[in-house]
Amino acid sequence: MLFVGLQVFIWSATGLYMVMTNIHYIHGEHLQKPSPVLNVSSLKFNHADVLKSYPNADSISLFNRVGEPVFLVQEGRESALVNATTKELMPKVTEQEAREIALFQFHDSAGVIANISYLKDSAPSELSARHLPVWEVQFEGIASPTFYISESSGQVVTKRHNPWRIFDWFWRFHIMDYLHGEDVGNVFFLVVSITTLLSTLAGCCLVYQRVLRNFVQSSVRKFANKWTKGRTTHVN
Amino acid sequence: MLTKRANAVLHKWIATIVSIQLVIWLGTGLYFGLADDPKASGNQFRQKVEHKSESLQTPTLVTLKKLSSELSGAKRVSLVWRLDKPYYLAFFQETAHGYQKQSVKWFDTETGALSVINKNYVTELAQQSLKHAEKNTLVENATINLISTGTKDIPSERNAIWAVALNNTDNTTIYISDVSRKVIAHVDDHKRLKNLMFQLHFMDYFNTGGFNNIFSKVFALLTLLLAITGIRWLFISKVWKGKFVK
Repeated sequence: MLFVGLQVFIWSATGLYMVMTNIHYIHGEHLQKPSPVLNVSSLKFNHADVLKSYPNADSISLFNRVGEPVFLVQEGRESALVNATTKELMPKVTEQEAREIALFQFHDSAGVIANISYLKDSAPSELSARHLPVWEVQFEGIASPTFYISESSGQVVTKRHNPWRIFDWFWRFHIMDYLHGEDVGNVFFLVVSITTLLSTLAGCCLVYQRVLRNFVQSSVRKFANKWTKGRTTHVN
Repeated sequence: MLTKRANAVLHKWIATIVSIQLVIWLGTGLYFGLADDPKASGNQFRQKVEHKSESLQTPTLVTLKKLSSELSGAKRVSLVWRLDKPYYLAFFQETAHGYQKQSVKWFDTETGALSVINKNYVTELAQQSLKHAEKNTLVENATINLISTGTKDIPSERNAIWAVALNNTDNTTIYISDVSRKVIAHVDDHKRLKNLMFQLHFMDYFNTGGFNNIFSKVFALLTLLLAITGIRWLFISKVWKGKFVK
């Protein structure tokens, strides 16, 4: 009971955190400013010009990156950036550009970058490896907000902050998969869940015996008396 | 600090309130651990739709300047293909997730005219997303509706969606987003059972598609109190001292 009780405490504490914090806040949606509006009337080149160079493109998107319009060409899992003013292929995002992109998009205009590092071969657990290579830009602040900026597309592919990291750890404790936080069907979880379910059903029996039985019995008795009285009156 | 008696009374009355929900949480949690995931995904007969064939010729595209009045306020303009036809897709409100409320406009790239989809497009896309021997008959006999008020099958969706309800044994419905013009889900009875389990686990009785609701907050708080009073009772009671410490 002690072991199960401890896990019930963990389930309820982690569950309480999850339901109390808004999921969009946990995703860090507030950390990034909305994209700026495009000015298409001053464009020198169009999608058609880019398509000539990339005829197999799956999509070509025009948007503003740090105040200048760019085309993002997506071809399968590969992507390339084309300057919409010069039509030139843009080189991979440098550290300085990653800083500019991060500061331009960070919600707090007074934000200060605490650390920046280049991740090529291995991703931390908070980032999907499919986004590599990326620039990891950490901002100063108690929540330690972090932007992951794709080296090829220059886009913020993932945003993380401490409330997300706490959520992630709580999720691992909630599903009892402490290593990866993915397998809800692990044996440990199933054994403890079944034991707790049996304990809870026993608790329900106790609740019935100690709290509800008198109420149920008196209600049934009242109903039976009323029904019998009604029948007697009707017969007379 | 609570006295032993107050702790026991509090434990008893909280248990009275949350006991059934606790059984539901544990039961649905066990279901998630034991459920057959591939079947419960609803994707038994789903296949990926290729929107752009390799042999397509380079299309004729109107310039964005010709659409400048229509594109006023746009944040992103993408050239995309849907069922081998090119379109301009303009985003006026971008969101982190596709299910959140978005504001977009679609344009025919040859004429620059605003584009809307109809039942023919939806039928074609639904057919292409199915891997089933009788897919043509299934889709031809399907009921097609445009839903703008949300659906219980995909409670988190905030945009207009097309529902193609097939007349098969599993009651499969194919959902197509009016915003992205892509198939967003195949929902069948197996998936609906999983949805019901999520709804019960999240106490999402108003079909918001999330767990940040008042019921789950109140019950999570009460359950935490139940666990704390229970553990306290276990540790400090005479029963503990008598049975375990001696």
